[in-house]
Amino acid sequence: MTTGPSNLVVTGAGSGIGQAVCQLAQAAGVNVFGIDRDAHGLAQTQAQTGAGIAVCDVTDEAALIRAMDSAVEHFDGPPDALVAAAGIYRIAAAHDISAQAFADLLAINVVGAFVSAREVATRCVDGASIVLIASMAYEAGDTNEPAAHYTASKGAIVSLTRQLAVEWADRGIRVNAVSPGVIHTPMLRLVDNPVKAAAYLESGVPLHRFGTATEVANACMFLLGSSASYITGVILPVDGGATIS
Amino acid sequence: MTRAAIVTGAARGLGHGVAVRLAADGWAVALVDQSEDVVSSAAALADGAHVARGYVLDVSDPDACIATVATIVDDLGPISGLVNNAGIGGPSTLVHLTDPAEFKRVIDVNLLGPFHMARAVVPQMQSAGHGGSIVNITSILGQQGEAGTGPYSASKGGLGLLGQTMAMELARDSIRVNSIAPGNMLTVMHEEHVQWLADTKNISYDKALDEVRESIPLGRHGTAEDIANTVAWLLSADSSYVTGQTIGVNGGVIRT
Repeated sequence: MTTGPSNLVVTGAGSGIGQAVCQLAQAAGVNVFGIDRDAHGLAQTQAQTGAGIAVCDVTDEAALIRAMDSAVEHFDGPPDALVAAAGIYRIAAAHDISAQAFADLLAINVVGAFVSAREVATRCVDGASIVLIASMAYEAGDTNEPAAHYTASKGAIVSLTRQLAVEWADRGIRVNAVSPGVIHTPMLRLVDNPVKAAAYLESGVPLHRFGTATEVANACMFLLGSSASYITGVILPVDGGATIS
Repeated sequence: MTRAAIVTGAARGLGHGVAVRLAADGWAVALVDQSEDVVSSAAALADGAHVARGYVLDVSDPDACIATVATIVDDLGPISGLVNNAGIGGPSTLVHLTDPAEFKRVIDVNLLGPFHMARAVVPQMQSAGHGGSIVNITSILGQQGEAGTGPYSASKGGLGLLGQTMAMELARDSIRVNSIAPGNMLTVMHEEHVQWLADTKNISYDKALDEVRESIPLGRHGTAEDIANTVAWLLSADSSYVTGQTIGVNGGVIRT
């Protein structure tokens, strides 16, 4: 009745949300190609899912282009889907963030996602579905875990999603973003302090629990598949209701 | 265990498409509509593999909502899914020229209807203790106003916020509440809107329809299946961490 994509590229495939996407996609019979700079995590993903892989830092444009070429080779055809999950999170007070640190983070979270999307859009033939990963951080400031560069990067992902959605719609390429809330992944720092975590879940998350990487991956799979064929330019929060509380 | 879901406004159009999809997914579906056609619609859907029954109900009648939901629970068992789809288009008059009775009728059906259904369904969901998922069908016109849509836009914007409020209130019961905001579906309601556009601009209906289509990034109108697919996802466990949200299904015409 509804179908998923055929050939899916996942960046950030070595851990967390990206790895969960690889697992769900592989279970659904999708051909998967994973990209990550972390060779160890990527090898784990490959062992779990049989995905094709390329160890690559998304900030290295030439290497990323080569990795996309490897994906086409692995699929023996063009990609028709992307989940751009590569990203980093750094907590720092704004006055401690150097211009270089700010630029470095944007290079991974924004430019990396953009080049990944561009390279899939360049190679796909009959349309594609692209999912970028935003964050609830884009919606509001946070004094508990200040991260001006990260927050700004996720705001940029939202704008990028909307722009690419309209720019590529006439090629049948849909572009959406999933906006995770507090998800239990290696990126999550809140768990370092269980007392703080419990208090936050009580007051800040209506469903009163962390989300799982699988729950975010499920939203990615929904947006990638034919079920979402009339959905483009959407930011889909997967946050237990955190952003409405 | 068979799960039971209620779909309002299910005799035709989007609601019927949603009911068909949920039945195919294994839900026991109560099709609700003010039109008596809903009984034959449901009968046509019910066969050995699909459980579906039709119920005639005007969702603007609070007592009738309570009584009908009680009957549905007797017939199909505890309700774990509710899709508030019933709605009317309302007048195309400018707000300050709109008849108060016509404005009130739109609010009674589109906004108070889901409220009355919530009063009937939620206590039952809570006492069953298995959580649940409620989906409100709002509209792109509930996200962004347009001349000549006052009562309808107000009702759908209100419904979106009613859903957010309920999401907050019911999260502890694991009852999730979300909205789907369709845009430019080829429904009778949209055809009426296109006719209004054609009349206003003094152009043909087909020209007005073409103009709408050209304004949609994905280049086509939406279908009942597009909405049904998203409803099916929001009622499923795959969306278990999603609550209080509005998902636009509009071909990219606005991006939220």
